[in-house]
Amino acid sequence: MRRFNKLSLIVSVLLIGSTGCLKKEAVADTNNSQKVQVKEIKAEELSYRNKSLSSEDGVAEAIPNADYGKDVAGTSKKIDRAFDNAPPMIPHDVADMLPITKTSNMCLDCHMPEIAPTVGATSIPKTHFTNFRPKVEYKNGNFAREVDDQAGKVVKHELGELYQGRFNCTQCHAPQAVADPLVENKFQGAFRNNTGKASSNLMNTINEGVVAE
Amino acid sequence: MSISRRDFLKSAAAASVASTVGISLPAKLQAESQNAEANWKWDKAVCRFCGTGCGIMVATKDDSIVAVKGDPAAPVNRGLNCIKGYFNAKIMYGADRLKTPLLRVDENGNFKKDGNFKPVSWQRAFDEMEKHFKSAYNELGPTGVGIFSSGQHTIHEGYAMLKLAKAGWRTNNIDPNARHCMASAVAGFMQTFGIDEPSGCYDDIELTDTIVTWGANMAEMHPILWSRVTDRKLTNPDRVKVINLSTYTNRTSDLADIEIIFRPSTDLAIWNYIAREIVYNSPQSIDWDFVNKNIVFTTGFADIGYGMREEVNHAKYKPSELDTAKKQKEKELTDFELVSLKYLGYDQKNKIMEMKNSGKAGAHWIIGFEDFKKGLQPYDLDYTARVSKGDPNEDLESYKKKLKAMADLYIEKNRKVVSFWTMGFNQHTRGTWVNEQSYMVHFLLGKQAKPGEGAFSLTGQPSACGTAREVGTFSHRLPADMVVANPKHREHTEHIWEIPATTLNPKDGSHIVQIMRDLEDSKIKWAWVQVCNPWQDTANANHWIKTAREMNNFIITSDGYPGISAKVSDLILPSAMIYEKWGAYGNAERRTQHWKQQVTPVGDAMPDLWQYLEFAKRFKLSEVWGEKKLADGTILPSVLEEAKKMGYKPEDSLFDVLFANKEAKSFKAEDPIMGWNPNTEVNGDKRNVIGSDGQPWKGYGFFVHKYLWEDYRKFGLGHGHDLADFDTYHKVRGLKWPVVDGKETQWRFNAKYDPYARKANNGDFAFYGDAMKKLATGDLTKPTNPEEVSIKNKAKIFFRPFMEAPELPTADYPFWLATGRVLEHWHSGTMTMRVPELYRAVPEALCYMHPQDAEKLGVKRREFVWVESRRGKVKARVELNGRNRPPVGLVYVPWFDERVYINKVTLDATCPISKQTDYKKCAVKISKA
Repeated sequence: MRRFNKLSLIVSVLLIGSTGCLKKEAVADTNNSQKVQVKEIKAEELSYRNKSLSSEDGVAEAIPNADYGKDVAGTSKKIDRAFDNAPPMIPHDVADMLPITKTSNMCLDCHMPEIAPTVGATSIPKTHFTNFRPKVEYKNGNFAREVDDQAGKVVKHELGELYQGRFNCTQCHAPQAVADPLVENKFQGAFRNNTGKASSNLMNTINEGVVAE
Repeated sequence: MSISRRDFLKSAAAASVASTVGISLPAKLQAESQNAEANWKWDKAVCRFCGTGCGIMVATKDDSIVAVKGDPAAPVNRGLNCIKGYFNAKIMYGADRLKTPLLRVDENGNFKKDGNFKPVSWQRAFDEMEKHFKSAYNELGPTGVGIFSSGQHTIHEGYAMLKLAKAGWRTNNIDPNARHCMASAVAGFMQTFGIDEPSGCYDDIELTDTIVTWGANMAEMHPILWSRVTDRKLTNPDRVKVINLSTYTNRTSDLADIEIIFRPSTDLAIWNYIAREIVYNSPQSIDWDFVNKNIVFTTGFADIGYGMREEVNHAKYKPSELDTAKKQKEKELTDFELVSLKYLGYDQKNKIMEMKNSGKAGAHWIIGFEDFKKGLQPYDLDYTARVSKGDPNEDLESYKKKLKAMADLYIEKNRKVVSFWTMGFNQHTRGTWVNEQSYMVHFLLGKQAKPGEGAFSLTGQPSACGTAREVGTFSHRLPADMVVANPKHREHTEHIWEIPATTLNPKDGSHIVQIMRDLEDSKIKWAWVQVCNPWQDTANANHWIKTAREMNNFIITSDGYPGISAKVSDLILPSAMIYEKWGAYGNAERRTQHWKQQVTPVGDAMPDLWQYLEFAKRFKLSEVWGEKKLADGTILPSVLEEAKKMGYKPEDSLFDVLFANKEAKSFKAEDPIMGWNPNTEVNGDKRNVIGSDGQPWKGYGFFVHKYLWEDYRKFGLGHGHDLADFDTYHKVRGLKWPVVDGKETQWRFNAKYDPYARKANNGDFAFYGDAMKKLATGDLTKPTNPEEVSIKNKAKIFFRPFMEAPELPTADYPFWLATGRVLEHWHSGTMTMRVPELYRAVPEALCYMHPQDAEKLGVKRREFVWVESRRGKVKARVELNGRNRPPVGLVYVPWFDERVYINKVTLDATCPISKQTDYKKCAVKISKA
């Protein structure tokens, strides 16, 4: 990945200039070996369009031909979540499964909890069968809400069926192109336990840190 | 509330199989013990992205963010985020975060316009900025400098920058990227209501029976609101109807009962068709009681141009641009327009419209109902269907049935209707008109400003409302809907800011497109890009790249990453990103939400607020408050003598006077609200960054965020924009202004819910906004009686005709180009392309087109095509069966990708009233690459 290496180099150059005042002065003014490195940051080397902005020559051709993974559902390797209870990305081909319409949601065919284990699919977690929205009502000219919005309270309606606000699966879960990251990312997601990369316990922890005043 | 909570729960339980439990939150103790276990600190924050304004919870550990979740107590989203929302923290950790200032220099380290970048100290960066600022300012006066502001500016940042620019430098050349995003919505509000921002709120979604989206692909652009719509629709599938109007099929269509694919710009005709159905065919559906009490009918000029340069042969235009450019002065009307504009005297023999009123685009006057009715006459079903059908493959008769079905749903008695729109309306050369038309229909039916009913403008950016609009970081505005052109507003502002009378510049500054044009014309020679990316987002970009790189000017970009604007700049400043600073955003339902800094910024990056305040230290009053001359010859008088009388000294800095005055310093750094959180501006931080004076940064020592908030808040109190105090927002999940007696307001202008409407003592409704509430009277063509009539407490129904876009597809450029966003990427992609999950979800900008067009062009899916207009061209891969499915003759290309620089292709025509660019319509040719 030539592009990736080039970006990493620039990144390291920028990093050198940032670690406290002494080192920065050294880079900016005195340290010769590093000066050579920092002297030549061309605009084209910044970010990921590594070509002139004025011309389109060779720009699009450099975009990797990265289509989505073609692994068939049930045969693909699951993708680790980015952090505790992050929405999992879709590891399989969805070309024939989308769009989700009001009459057709093929995701549910395999991911509903009663089916998922039998086909090796990730099971839709309990949060998705819960509506956290307080009920509102407007009757006879009067508006009412189950709990005051300003009270900072959490409401849980356990529905026993999919909360329809979560019907648009692709709002949070997306298929992934087969491609190296465009730019490296240093985020270190944390997990509370070993199973966190593959499953959700959000229903148990959703209130954590949500402090009522 | 008229029913008790107990009764409510009872009825809710009976109505639903769901078990309904209002759970009191876990005690603080419990949260703390769990946190100790995981060693995580959770804190509430706000999403960085769209105007929905979701609440999120952020977990930090060892000064890094390690997890994010939807805030289950946040009223907007109740525990759910969209895919971008979950990656709010990860956007801060891209490996190429900017960590030091970078200046273009020669081999000796001196500034050089065509040099390469080299890291410099903050002190050197500010020295260079100051030198070039003063050079431009002293040569050209206050109009010689410009600020690119943002709908992503925090409220504090926007307010501080506004104050520095308008009170300090006396320039009104500050304008936000929000101009590109919702200026037409603003102009629509101001013209219709006399006050900005929606009357309704998101609760309308759960209360309505009908959701009509007009040029708003909510499924991708406002996914959490769409989740609420989806729940409403799917749990009441028979009663609740969803209609999607768009120029191409998209994910919002996937859930709709009716999809209407219309030809670009013909939404103007469709609204008039609905109004005509009401007025001519269902007059009984008009809520005359409401209309008579609350409404006047109005209209304005049609020959107002398209917001392009008035110099239609401007030297910088390429020859290929000239045929579109000249339409700013005159155009030949199309056959469809000869029908809609017949009332102005046009016909086959007289079909050239001269744009005589481009300087008075927003002018309007009162007309009678009979004139209004006459204006609507041409828009019968047959004409409207022929004008507006956007899919050549669709049968006209079935299209007509859909239009009629939609009109029937609007008109149906006791059916609640919400109309939503975003960029489809706003990015429109008649954007203000089409906004006004939505209120026209809702007003006629009396379906506005009521629970579950109303036309509702969705906002694109997280603080387009909170900062750009409410603070007023526009070239013509001041806080709380005030404007620089109004002497009373200037006086009031000068009083609050404790600056001498006549300090403020009374002349509107340059709007954001004009700032680019001024740079190209060397009328502005110094510009600062703040929390936005104008070199990627401004239409007709080839002009602006050249302007930045080849002309004598100095451009600074403050950003977290080196996007396109940074790359064309002379100086790049590394900014702290969202949770590396304290801030507040205001969302589309008027909800203001604050958050606290969670972690220390990276490298030597510093908050934008700090950058503005440090730069303010570089200016003495004597340099900015003496006599100044504007470009148009206007003289701003010296206010130095008056300043002395107020106790200011000529050598005081703008920082001293505007930001570190006695009142500011009364807000102590020791404050319980500060909590455990870092505050880089107030206290410095562990890095001891070497600051603008060459010394380690140790903090201002007073609570500058709280000061700025309380200073800003003075503008709105008692003026219908009341905000709560700083501390309150750190305890609640946002509040919808006006916040009166501690209570937020859900439905404005409705006396039952809005204290200001009650106070007006005007019956059930009071449209109390006071802008443009004195009008002349006339007929459909012109004002005939200049005597101004007061229309206090009333709103307006505008008649606006159908007009085409200025650049239509032709034999040479046969396709429409529409641009926009995708769900997974935010705006220019500068942040989201650096999150691998989001990048892989949509790794490049594609050219979405119809398979029949692809076949004709001989291209297959994922092959490259050139997309070329009169202005520029880019190459992109083709998508034929993706999420966006255009009709034959239209292509859609999103703008998030630096490598598919689609704004080289788009046209910088704007709505002449709002000055918002139309990114949805220009003509292109497509060829296999």
